[in-house]
Amino acid sequence: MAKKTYLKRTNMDSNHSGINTAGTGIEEAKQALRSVQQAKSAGLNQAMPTRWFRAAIALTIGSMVTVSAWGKTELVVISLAVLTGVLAAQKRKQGAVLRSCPNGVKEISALFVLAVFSTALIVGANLLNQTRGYEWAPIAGGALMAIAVLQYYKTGKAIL
Amino acid sequence: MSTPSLNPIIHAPNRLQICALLAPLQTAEFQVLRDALQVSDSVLSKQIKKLEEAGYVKLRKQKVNGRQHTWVLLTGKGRKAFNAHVAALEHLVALASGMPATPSS
Repeated sequence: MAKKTYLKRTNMDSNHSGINTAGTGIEEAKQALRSVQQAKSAGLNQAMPTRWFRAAIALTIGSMVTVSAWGKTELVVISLAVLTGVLAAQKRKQGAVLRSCPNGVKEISALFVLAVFSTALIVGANLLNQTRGYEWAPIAGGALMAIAVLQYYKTGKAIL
Repeated sequence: MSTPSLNPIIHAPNRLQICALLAPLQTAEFQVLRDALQVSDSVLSKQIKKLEEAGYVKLRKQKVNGRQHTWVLLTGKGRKAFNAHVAALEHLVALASGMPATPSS
């Protein structure tokens, strides 16, 4: 929760009709920056999926990798529909949605790594299944993808 | 080099916090903002109206199970203004400590 102590130290009302920004003190600026950071964290915490939603999202994305590696692309549509439903339920329940477009190099690179990782898993598991007859490979690929998604939500980083 | 200036619309504590809360988000529900800021509905409405008049936020109303839900989102203009305001605050602090301002992410 962002503190509003700096509000008391200034002579500004909440409407700021006649604010003198040129006279903003250093302490006030520091307080404002602190409150910005706290409010940003509060917003992020609010929008971050809860444990159950994280698990549901990870399982759905994992199942997408599994069915893709099995070559049953028609089932991907079902997984996608379930994922959409889970995300809609999360939005309604938590009342906040994270920005969909990645912000910053770290986020973009983490999503890029996740995309490459999932493609590699699908192709690798598919090859193992088709050429060597390892039927467990798509399931293992899906499980790895689910772990990668959970890791992403936990740390903001891809599996690497 | 131009000195970044503070934005009088965003500088109000409640409005600054609304913008900061919305900055990492695509959208947030009115109730979430109210609870996070610990203000009344009317106070929050007033602050949001000011931001909306400046074109910094947009409201979207949605009916779910017969109940009206209001979602608030920061516009591109609002995001730019908020980032510029934060940069101006950082500049102020950096000037005071005698160090060059480094923009935060």
